[in-house]
Amino acid sequence: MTRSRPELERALAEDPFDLVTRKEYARALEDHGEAAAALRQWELICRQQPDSAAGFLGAMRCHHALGAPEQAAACLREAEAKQDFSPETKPARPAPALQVLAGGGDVRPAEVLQLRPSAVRFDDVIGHAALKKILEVRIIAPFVRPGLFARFGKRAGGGVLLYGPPGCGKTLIARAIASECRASFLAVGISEILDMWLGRSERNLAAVFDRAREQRPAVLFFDELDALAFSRSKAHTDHTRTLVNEFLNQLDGVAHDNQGVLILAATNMPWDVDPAMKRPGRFDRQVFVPPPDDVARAEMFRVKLADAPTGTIDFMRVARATPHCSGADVDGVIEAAKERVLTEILGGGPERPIAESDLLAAAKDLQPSTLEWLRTARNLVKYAGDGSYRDVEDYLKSARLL
Amino acid sequence: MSELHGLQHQIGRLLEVGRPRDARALVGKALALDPADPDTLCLAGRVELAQEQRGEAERRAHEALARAPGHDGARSLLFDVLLADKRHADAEEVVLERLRDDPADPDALADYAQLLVQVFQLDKARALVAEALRRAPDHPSAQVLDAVLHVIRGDDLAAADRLARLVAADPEAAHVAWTAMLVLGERGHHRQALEIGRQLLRRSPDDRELVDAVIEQRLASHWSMIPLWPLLRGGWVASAILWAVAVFGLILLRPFVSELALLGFAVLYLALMLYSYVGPPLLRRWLRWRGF
Repeated sequence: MTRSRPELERALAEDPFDLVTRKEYARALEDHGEAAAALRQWELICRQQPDSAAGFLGAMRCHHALGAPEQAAACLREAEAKQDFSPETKPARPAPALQVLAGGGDVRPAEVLQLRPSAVRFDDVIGHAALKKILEVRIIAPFVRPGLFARFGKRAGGGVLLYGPPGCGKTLIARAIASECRASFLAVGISEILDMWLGRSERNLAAVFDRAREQRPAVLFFDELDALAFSRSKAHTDHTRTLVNEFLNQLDGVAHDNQGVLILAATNMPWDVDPAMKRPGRFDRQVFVPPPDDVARAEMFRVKLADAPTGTIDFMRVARATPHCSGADVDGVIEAAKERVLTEILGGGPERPIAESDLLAAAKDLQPSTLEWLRTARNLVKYAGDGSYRDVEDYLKSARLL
Repeated sequence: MSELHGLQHQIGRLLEVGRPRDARALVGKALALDPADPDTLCLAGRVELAQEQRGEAERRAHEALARAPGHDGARSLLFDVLLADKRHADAEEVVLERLRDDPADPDALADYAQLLVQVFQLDKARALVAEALRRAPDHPSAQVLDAVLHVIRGDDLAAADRLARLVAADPEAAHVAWTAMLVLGERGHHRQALEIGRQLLRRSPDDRELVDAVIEQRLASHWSMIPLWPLLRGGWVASAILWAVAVFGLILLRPFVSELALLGFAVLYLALMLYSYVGPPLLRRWLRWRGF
């Protein structure tokens, strides 16, 4: 529920460190065209939460509105340096675009924002063909065509948990799902929820769900779910248990209607997530995001090296030399190969493009970051008899790790 | 609650959910607010310990003790670091100092008992656990140690009794499940112990000790181990008894049965002995490789 300005002001007077309220207040000021006042609020948010991009993006919008493009650019640079920065949260063409379109009559800022040229589509996600097909049928189609699915007794929304080794594109897939669903995308990291003040984490969580419900159709994405919904049986303190209880309460939708809100989550450690989170009606659909296969890795190398000087490279051969590597590992191989070439050139060698041998040598030195995760998952499949990891089992068998 | 306390609370929480890197960033902030706060220094040490940086963790513990001599958290951290480093003598010094300050401290008594279990001073450990439980009957670590010590002693009934108390107090806690697996395995209920071990492994698949324990339980409950049941149950005592029974049995039976039957008994016995040496290691390897 949207609060009025006096309500927000009262709430802030009571608790000046309530960042959620302050952000809401700053946005309200922006909506009323009070850019200077909103800027003060966003600057305060930047100071209270210096590791988040939200404050700097807000300040950027205000600077634009106040006709200070240099300061706006500086704020954008600051925002881009933050971990939680997402290109989608950056307005596509903030003030100048609106000025150009102003003569067009019925174009509203919201529509400009909805274009989102930088939004990730499924086509942008390299590889994972089978996974994308499953996601399209099981998640996106019910969301985009709720009428059809309603006739078959299936509802849109609910929870989906993406799990797998780190660096394999879970977050990217979540963003792509949001784009394909044509829904608002709210990405939530642990820093947005976990708060040092008692009870505030639960309130932050509730506020995030409220915002998603206000903006439905919406995709609410929780990164690192294991930290937010840590297994209560492993927890030593009541704080963790309270947060999980609140999470369950929000997911169950007893007091709230989550229809039209697709709740996505990603985790590297699904075994640390509280088992209650995986029950029907919550994150009952768990999707394994495996490391990219040979074809996908070859395509990654081709795309990522497109702008770099390269000789003739058999990308498939390089891909085969990097088994089990994640997308992040592929980046690592490319960087190491570039470094190798540059070291040679700086050492007095002739200037030359990146050769296949550089990539193969870099690949030889690399230990895939997914291996540790896969070994851990192997314990689950081999010894724990946990039937909920069938996809992992299939992958391990196909990769001859089982 | 001050900002510093808030940060400390947040650091503890991040440590609990296995995010020491995120916690480290907050430690920097907390130390910027008060670089001399012993609680923050302890948390900084805990963050280092969680990342296997034991040297740095020890340094933080000493730093905290320099600022606040006798600080409980710092001494406890130092004890944990030294125990993890297997520097038992140093760890003993730390825990003795804690006991000198407060001889009735159940945490210190349980810590000392844990140290003594690690160095197989079981009688002393038992006495310390008894004292800890006398001071605090619901102390969880002391209860677990008590059950473990009864298992080691071979007193299954007493161990099961301690286990029942633990389960009643916190049936979902991992340490309770661990103890249950141990006690059930010791009492010969390997299938039940295996099931508990597998449940535990689903929660902590990265725990190598647990993987080994589960494999052992599967081994003990495997059908091919049925002929070795007395040996597996009774250990070396059962082996010795079996040797004696076989040798004296064959001598005593000699006047009454034919040579061929005696030879058959002897071959059967030697085959069993050979199988007892070769069977379990082979099966263990097979289970580890193939899974179950």
